Amino acid sequence: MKDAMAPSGKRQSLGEVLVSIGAITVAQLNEAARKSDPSQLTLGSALIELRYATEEKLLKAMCIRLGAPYFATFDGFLDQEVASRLLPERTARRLLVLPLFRLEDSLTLAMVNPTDKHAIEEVSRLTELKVRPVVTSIENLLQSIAKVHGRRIDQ
Amino acid sequence: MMNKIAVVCDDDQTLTQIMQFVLSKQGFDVRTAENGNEALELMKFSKPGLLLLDLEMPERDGFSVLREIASGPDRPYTIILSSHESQDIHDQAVALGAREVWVKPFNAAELMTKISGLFEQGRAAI
Repeated sequence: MKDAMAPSGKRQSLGEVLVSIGAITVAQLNEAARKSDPSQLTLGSALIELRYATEEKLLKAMCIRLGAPYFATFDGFLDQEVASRLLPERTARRLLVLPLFRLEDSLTLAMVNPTDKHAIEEVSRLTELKVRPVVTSIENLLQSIAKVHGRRIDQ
Repeated sequence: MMNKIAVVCDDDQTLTQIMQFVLSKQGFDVRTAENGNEALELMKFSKPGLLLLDLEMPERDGFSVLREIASGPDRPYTIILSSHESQDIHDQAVALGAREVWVKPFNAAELMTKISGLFEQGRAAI
């Protein structure tokens, strides 16, 4: 993943990306920042709580910030064999991840939070593959885990 | 007619892997490179019909590769991948022979549609 860089050469914060794509205003960002602590997840939660941003917008901003592709659905990208066999359902749910497909020694892994280094390291250790994280929403992830592991999905 | 060899040149290995997956599903034999030098080396031998080329790379960037292949024979159908939506970048890339400029990051469904659409709409005949 390539980071979105500010003109200063530093990686842009999630808030800066949201402002730069016009999803929120500077005033809304400042108000959410006052309500939150410095961790970005909390900033995201504050923005959602204030109804200034949706989870979808936050995920898109995270993708821009990290240069990661966003998967609204996994249509055409999910290898059932890889998804069901590489990780047990319990592990996928605990780490909030789903293996999508494998090419040689690399695994494309759908994640709600692609900056979760602990989850990436654990999947890499369990599968003995290099992990390439991509982003999806929690709803899509949980529904897809249920489908892959053959559970009924209640809408 | 385009041959079904594609070179994907991007130092972002996550994106490269996704492109490789989608193009393989379209029947392409996909070769990957992490910088412009590697791409040029690959292209000498594999003569690809399709080149997906990142602009911002270490060592040798996409513009440099475009200049290098601009005057050569058997120029592949070249799609530039750029992190910046800019008319200047678009115009410069097209002037150097690129056929399309795609702006990153991609929504995965959009990427699948773009690549499928290349062939369905006859923009790049296989």
